[in-house]
Parts: sequence; structure tokens; C-alpha cells
Amino acid sequence: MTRTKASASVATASNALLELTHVGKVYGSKGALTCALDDVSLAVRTGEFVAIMGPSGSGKSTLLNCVATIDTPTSGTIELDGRDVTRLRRADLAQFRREELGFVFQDSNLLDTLTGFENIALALTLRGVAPHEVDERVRACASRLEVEGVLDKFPGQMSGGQRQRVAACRAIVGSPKLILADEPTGALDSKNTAVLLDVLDQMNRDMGATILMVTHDAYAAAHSTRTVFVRDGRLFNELRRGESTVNDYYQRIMEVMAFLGGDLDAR
Amino acid sequence: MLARLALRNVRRAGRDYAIYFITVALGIAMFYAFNAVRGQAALLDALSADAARMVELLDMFVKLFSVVVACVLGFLVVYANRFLIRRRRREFGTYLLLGMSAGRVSRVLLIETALVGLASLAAGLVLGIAISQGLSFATAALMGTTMTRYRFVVSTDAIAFTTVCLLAIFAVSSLVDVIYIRRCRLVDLCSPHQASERAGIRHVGVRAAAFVASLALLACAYWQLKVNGLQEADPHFWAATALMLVGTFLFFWSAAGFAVLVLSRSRSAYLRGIRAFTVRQLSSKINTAFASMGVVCVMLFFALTTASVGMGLLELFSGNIREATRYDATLTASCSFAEGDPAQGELEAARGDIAAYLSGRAAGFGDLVRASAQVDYLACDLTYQTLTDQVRDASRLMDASVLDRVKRSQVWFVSQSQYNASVALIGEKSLDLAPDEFAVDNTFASTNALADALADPAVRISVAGHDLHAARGARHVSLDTSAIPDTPLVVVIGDDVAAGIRLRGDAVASSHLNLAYASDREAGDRRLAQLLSQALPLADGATPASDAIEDQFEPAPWPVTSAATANQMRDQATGLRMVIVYVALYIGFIMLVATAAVLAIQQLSETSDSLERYRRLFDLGCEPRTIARSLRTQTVIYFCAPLVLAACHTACAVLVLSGSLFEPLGTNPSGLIAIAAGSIAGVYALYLVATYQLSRGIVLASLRPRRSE
Repeated sequence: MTRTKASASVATASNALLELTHVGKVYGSKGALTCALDDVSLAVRTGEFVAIMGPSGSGKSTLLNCVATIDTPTSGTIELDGRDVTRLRRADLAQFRREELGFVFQDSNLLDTLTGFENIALALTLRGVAPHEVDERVRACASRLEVEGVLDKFPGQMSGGQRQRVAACRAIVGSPKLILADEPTGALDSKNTAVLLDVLDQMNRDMGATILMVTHDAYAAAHSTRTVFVRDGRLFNELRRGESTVNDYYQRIMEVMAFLGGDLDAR
Repeated sequence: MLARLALRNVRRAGRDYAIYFITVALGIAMFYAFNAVRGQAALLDALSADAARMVELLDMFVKLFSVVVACVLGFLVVYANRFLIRRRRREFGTYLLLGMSAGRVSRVLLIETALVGLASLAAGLVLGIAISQGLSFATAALMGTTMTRYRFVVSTDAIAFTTVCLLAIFAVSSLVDVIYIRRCRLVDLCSPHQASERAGIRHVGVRAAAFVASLALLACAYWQLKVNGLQEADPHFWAATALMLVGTFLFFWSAAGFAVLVLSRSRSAYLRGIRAFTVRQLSSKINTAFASMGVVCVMLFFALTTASVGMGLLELFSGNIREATRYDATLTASCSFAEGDPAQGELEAARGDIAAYLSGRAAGFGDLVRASAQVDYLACDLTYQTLTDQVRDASRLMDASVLDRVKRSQVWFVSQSQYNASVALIGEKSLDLAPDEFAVDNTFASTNALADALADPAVRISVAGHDLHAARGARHVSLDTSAIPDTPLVVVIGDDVAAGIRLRGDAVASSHLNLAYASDREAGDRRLAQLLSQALPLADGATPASDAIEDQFEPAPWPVTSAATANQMRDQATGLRMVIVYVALYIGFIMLVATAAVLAIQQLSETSDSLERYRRLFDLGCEPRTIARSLRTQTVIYFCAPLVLAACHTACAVLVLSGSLFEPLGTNPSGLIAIAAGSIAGVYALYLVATYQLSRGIVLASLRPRRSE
């Protein structure tokens, strides 16, 4: 395993890149309170690939949105690299997102009016990276994820797998501290699911990315290095892949799921 | 129940209705104001018969164009409704899903638009009544009269007409809406995504080549227009029109591709912030809407040209009316007789003396005039070419086409004694020619410079056996009363030379009897009309078609073909001026509002279609203010692109027109055109700002934190 960049930024006492401490999130007014997150504490170390699993309504997306600064928790702190993101001023949120985080969304979430190149470059130009550097970094990243061939194509002209690779490229090209993936396989067929999971794997193993992924798909979770189970807003259990194969790991995840109560995707 | 729902919807969607409201209200205001001009004109002091007829004429034009305006407004209402339905399709989908019938859904929409329509009718009428009060002062100024008895009036006729038109518009638009909603499929209304994802522009190279071609086409069109000179609808004109249309549409089809090609080549300009996004967003929008951009551009061109040309003509008609009407009245005999015309016999019997003939037929003629002077224009197979050929660089002095026409026309001679008698009536000093001299008199603007060049002793002419040279210094004294100064390069010669020309029987080309009344002009005009009807009774005892002076008598090639009085010419000129200005303003303004509204609605629907894209940018960490800036750039360019091209077209048309029409007639309307351009820019800017504010509101609202599951 090659840890190319992130190891330098490990600074906190617990050696964690992301640290959630007693995070709670309550929706609604006095009459009808909904508790989406209840005293969640979680630490993610640099280079980890953590999957958060849970059924619909378990609070897993709320958790991700709080880390993404798209939503704010009602209690607790979320520290990224020693910085409490819940205390960021509204004006600084956008800057924080574009400089520290990378996103992989459910659908590839590329802008349909931009070419592959321009979509990837957006992550850099938004940060104010110098134009001559942009070209170089986009091409380098595209060649690692094998999408150089579609850089001049529009998303509408790409296959689903190519779109996911371009989206992954956009997420990682700015070397963010943390990559967040929200149900990345939710809208994909099995072939493209496999492609995307490969890419995430590759980003994690070869490019040293730290990934936090929300999913209800056990197969997707089986590609992570650690799976955290959430239910009714609370952390419920945790599995580490260790040295086991994808299949073994998958079996273990399925066991926990069965224990949790069958179908996680009970909609 | 439905009404309550509709009322709540209007309150909630108030912002969406803003463009709709502004457009209908402005349209109604203009509609009312111009239809009320006739009622307002009743307030004016002293409105002569001619001026009153001009007001009637204006009213007729306004009514006529109001039909066009109503159609344009109707189209806009339908178009705006379509935008509202699209924007709220999920809401309507929900109603349908809940089991509401399509009929009831359309009724909700109908009540909503009726509510907004009523509000805009009220606002429009209030604004229109305010504008019409201002217009009545403008009318007074344009008609050269005053309004001492001003009071606040509201034209019930105009209100009724406006309301009826609005009701008709609503009837039609509701019908279209109902049909549209009934034909919508529920699945389309409820699906979260817009029908299809939009691809970026492909084949950028082809577009870039097409862009160059479109510029070439437009250059050709301008050139053809210059050749045509906007004088007549010859093949050059149609070629120019076709080239301009094709060039305009091709321009919008290809401009976006060209811009992308050029900009994306320059990496350092392109790869900054979300500039690439802005460029792509705009280009894909212009690319899909190129046809409507073309239509908008052509409509803007019409609006701009109507306003500019109207202003140019205004200057033309108001410029020299005083100079043109120095005699109280002029009676003109065309002297162009048909074979065996009895008028020719009359001419010979009276030895060509119109005043004597009229005195003989109507006893009061001697009392009417203090003095009169007859000017006969004589011709003798000599064209102006003999004179102009002696002037160096004559083509430098005037437009080539005008010079060409001058060269081919016959020289008009006037005897010194007739000339002096006529100019004495208006207190100009008389002419004293040496035996071998001739003088040049001219008041026609386009030949003034030529007249000055001809008044050079080196210019010689041989006529009726006399060799003459020009006296130094051209004269610029009018020899008749007419709508514009039109004394055309008249050559004044000694009486003996004139007598020599007269030896030919048909030397008189036309005769003009200039009158100086014994009384004031108004009484004189009335008396003249009476005397003419007495001296030259209408054929078969017909009753006059109007009380205008030219309808009182039977015209003949001699003694009187037409009569023009100073008062009548002035009233007509001011009236015509008013008609032109008002019609140009009315049409120009409505077209402008229409195009601006179409652009605004398109930009707003574009924004709501693109919300998902803005949301993605925001999620990637783009600042809302960066997004707003991109939106501003998009709106400004989207509005300005058709305006700039239309302004180029207009500039070309107005320049050609000023070469062929304004300059020969000696007017320079650039000041007024600048005012027209300024007001157009103002209205356009209003729509631009409103559109930006609205779309910014829509986008920022959609960027609020997303509800988690």
C-alpha cells in the first residue's frame, strides 16, 4: 500500500483525520422532534476507507451531510484535521468544501454542459489553481483513472462507467483530505457498480485517498477497510476487513445485517 | 375553494408572476395612453380643421396598430403562462395525482392569471392615465399650441377598448392553457428531471466556420443595402433583406460555438473559477435557442429602426416649415394639359394671368389680397447638365443619385420682374441683373451647395440667343408656400431673355400665384376657400368632401391645380410630426417590451431548468456569490447579444437612410435618435435588472441546506 500524501497531515492526539464527538441532530419543533443522530462518535484515520451502512431513515445520510457541511449538527463537534467544521462561519463553508473535501455523488453528478476535462478542472479552478497547472494535473489524474480518452467528450456521450470514473477523478484531482461518497452505487447497474467500486478501491490503495462512504449495499461496503453500522441514529456495530478477502468480508457484513433485521433497504 | 387555492398560489408564486405583471401592465399602459390621445386632444386651445384631421388620422393609425399590439401582448401572455406552468409542473402534477380533474386544474390557473391580469390591468390603467396626461402636454407642444384649460381627463372609450382587448387576450390564452394542460401527461408533470439532458455543442469547428460565413453574409447584406440606398424595393433590397435574415440566424447558430472555440483555446482565461461553466452554460443556451434569438434580434431591429427613422422624419418635418411657408398662400397651376384640354383655352384667353381670371369670376378677389405676384417657371429644352458640367467636383457637393436626377431635369427660368414682384411680397430685396447676367435661386436643401457653386461668373449659359454668365452669390429665397422649402435651382433671367423663351408657345412649365392677404391668415384662408369655390365650382355641384381648402374647388391644369396656405401647411406639418412620433413610439415601445419580456422569460426558464447544475456547483464548494456573478454575466450577455447585433443592423439602415433621405433633405436627426436610443436602453435595462434579480432569487433559494433523509 502506498500512502503518498495524507500521512503528513496526521496531527491530532488520537492520530485521526476525522473525528466526530457526541454528534447529535434533532429535526423539527417542540411538538414533533425527530432525532436523526444520537450521540455519534467516530474517528477515521488517514488512508482508511470507511463505509457507513444502515437502513433508510437510520441517519447515515444526515451523518455524511454534517461532515460535508451541507447540514449542521445540533450538538457535538466534527473535527477534520484538528479543525472543528461545525464552528465554521457560513461564509467559510464553501471554501472549506472545495479545499478539504472531494465528493462522489449517487448519480455521477457531472455538469452536462461541460466536457470531461472541464468537469474535472472545475475542482481545481474553483480553488484558484493557476491555469497552466490545471491542465497538467487534470491529465495526470485522468491517466491514472484511465479516462484520458473521454476528456473532450460531454457526459451525454460517455458510458455510465466512464462518467463515474470522471466524477471520481474530479473528486480526487484536488488532493482533498477526505473524499465523501453518498450512495455512490445507488443509481448504477451491476456492471457500473463494479467499475465504481474498483475506482474507489484504486483511489484508496494507489492514490492514498481517505474515503467515507454511505451505502445500504453490502457489496459496496465489502470494498471498504471498515464498515460502521448505523441504526436509529446510533452507531450499532463495526467490522474491520483486516486481511480477509472481499468475499469473507461480505459474508461477515451480511451476518451483521441479518442480525440487524434483514433487509436494510426497507423502504 | 378553487379561488382560495388560486389566491394562495398567486401570493406564493408572486415572484414568478413579476415579469408577467410588468409586461402586461406596461403593455396596457401604452395601449391606453395612445388610444386616449384623441380624447386628450379635445383639451387643446385653437385646434384648426387641419390639425383636428391629423388627430383623427393619428387615432386611426393607433387603432390599426393596436390590433398588432394586442396580438403581440396575447402572444406574450401565452408565452409567460407556458413558463409558469413549466416551472410549477410538479405542483400541477400533484393536483392531478390527487385526483383533481384537468378542467379544475386549468380553472385554478385561470383564476390565478385572471387575478394577476386584473392587478396588471389596474396598474396599467393607472400608469396609462398618468402617461396620457403627459402625452397631452406633448401633443400641445408638437402641435405648436397651448393648453390653458388643462384638466384631468380619463377617456372612458379608451378604458373600454383596453379592457375589451385584454379580455380577448385572456380568452385566447386561457383556451391555449387549458389545451396545454389537458395534453400534458401525468408522468411528465411528476418526474423530477426535465425532459432531457442537454449536451454541449459538438462540431465546434463547423460552428466557427459558419460564424465567419455569417459575418461575411452580414457584410454582404450591408453592402447590398448601401447599393440600394433604401430608395425602392429593387433586387438589391430583397437581396439585402434575405442576406440579413440568413446572416442573423446563422450568427446565433454559430456564435456560441465560435466563442467556445476561441475562449477554450486560451487556457489561462478559460480555466479560472467557474468561467468554463459560464461559457458553456451560455453557449448551450444560445445554441438551443438560436432561432428565438434570431427572431428577437429582428424584432429589436424593427423597434430600433422604427424609433430612429421616426425621430429622423420628425426633424425633417419640423425643421424648415417657417422657411417653406412665407407667403400667405400659393395657388399653383401645373400647366400640364391633356390633348384638347379646355383649360388650355382658358389660359390663352386670360393670357396666363391667374389673378385676373379669378377676379373676373369672383368679385371679392381684389379685396382678399393686399398684393399678389405670379411666378411662371419657363423651360426651353435645356437641362441642368449644361450648368453642372461647368462646376468642378459637382459630385462632391451632393449625393450621386440626386445629382443624376438634377442633371436630367429641365432648367427652370423665371423673369427678373416676376421674381422681384414675388420676393417683394415677403420683404426680400429685389434683384438687379446686368444685361449679360443670370442669377440662381434655391431653397431645396439637397441642392443648396450646388446653387452656391453655380453662382460663379465663370459659369455660362446660352439661352434664346443670349450668352449669359452667373451673377456672384446664389439667392435662397422661397418662391412659393409648400410643406418643405422646394424652390429648385431656379435661374432668374432678364425680362428680354424671358420674352425670347416665351416666343415658344408652351414655354410655361408651371405657374405659381403667391398671395399676401389684406386680412390675417385665418380670415384670409376662409375667404380664399369661399372665393375659389365661387370661381371654380365643383363639377356637377358636388358637395365638398371636407372643409379643407383643396376640396372646395374643381382643380384643373389651369388656373388652379392646387392651393396651399401657410397655416394649412404648418398645421399639417405639425400634425404629421405628431402622427409619426406617436406611431413610432407606440410601435417601437411595444416591440421593445415584447422582445425584452421574451428574453426575460427565456432566461428565467433557463435558470429554473439549470437549478440542479447550480446545486452541483454549490456542493462542489462554489460560493453562492460566485454563482450569482456567473448568473449576472449570463443574463447580461444573453440580453445584450441580440441588442448589439440589432443595433449594428439599425446603424447600417439609418446611415444608408441618412445618406439617401435625411441628408438630401438637409436634416440631421442624430440628436433625436440618441434620445430614442437612450430610452430604449432604459426599458431594456429595466428588464435586464428585473430578470437578474429574479433568477438570482430562484437560484439562491434553491441553495438552502438540503433536508437530509
